[in-house]
Amino acid sequence: MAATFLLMASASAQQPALPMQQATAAPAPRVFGSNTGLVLNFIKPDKTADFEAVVEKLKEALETSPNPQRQQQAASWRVFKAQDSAAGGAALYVYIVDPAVKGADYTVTTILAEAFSSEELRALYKQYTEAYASGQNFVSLSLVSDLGK
Amino acid sequence: MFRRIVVGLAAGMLSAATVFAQAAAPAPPAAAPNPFVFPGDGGVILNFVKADKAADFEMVMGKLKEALAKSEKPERKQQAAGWKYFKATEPGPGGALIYVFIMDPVAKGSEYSVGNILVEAFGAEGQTLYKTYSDSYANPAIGALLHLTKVAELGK
Repeated sequence: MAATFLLMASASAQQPALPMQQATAAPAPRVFGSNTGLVLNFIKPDKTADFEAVVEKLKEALETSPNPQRQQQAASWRVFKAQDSAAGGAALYVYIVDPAVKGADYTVTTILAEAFSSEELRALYKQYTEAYASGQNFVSLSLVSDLGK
Repeated sequence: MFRRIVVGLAAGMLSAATVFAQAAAPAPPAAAPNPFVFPGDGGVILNFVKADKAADFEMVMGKLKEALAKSEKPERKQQAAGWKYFKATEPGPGGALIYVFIMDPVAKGSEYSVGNILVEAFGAEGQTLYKTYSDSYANPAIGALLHLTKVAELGK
């Protein structure tokens, strides 16, 4: 439909944490500074299955976490795919986090690291980071109005 | 950190300014696919608003809420139930404010054109309101209009 409504990927978009970075130092926490968050993920068109597989693992990690904050995060975290391609043919996946859990870290690689063995983790990191075409955009949102209330 | 990222996002969208600016105009002719109809599960619109026009934009959004509430069409109630709007913490291009519409879930097949909903509810006054709304837009007017299909609910 809307080739005319493509979102353009940004060169300065934040990259997901890389395996080497993760191995040596924890990535900076990704915390939403307001009550809702939006994350735009630009994914290589031939890597969407890989990305979605990691999303499934993320779901599993959140579900099985003994940390109650992780369950809270899961409850309001939804993943969508845009029907139209982004710049360069990238697939656009959108996280909508509403409400965001105050103070919680939404770094996917950190959540995965809490749940899986180092061997599994290495494979997941590779799958996840290599799926990205041009990183992520994080947007912190404050509710102005719920039009149904 | 977030500020840098969103500025990058906004800058990245500028190259599509000409196209996106059209989105602030009334709905396109029937022959063209209507971008304000969301055929999937959700929708997101990033609106760029002039910093000194925030009050105008929010006033019209208040009228939009009233229009949806008073409509006798069931689909308008459905639209209202899944439609929230937010203000981004970070500024957009040229200091514009970023207002984000999130429609989740969407009322499938319903049209989300703010102008049409206002005119439907308020007639001539709706047209005046729509002008106020349009005048509040920065350039570009809309940074992204996304038709979304749900992939996963991480809590279910």
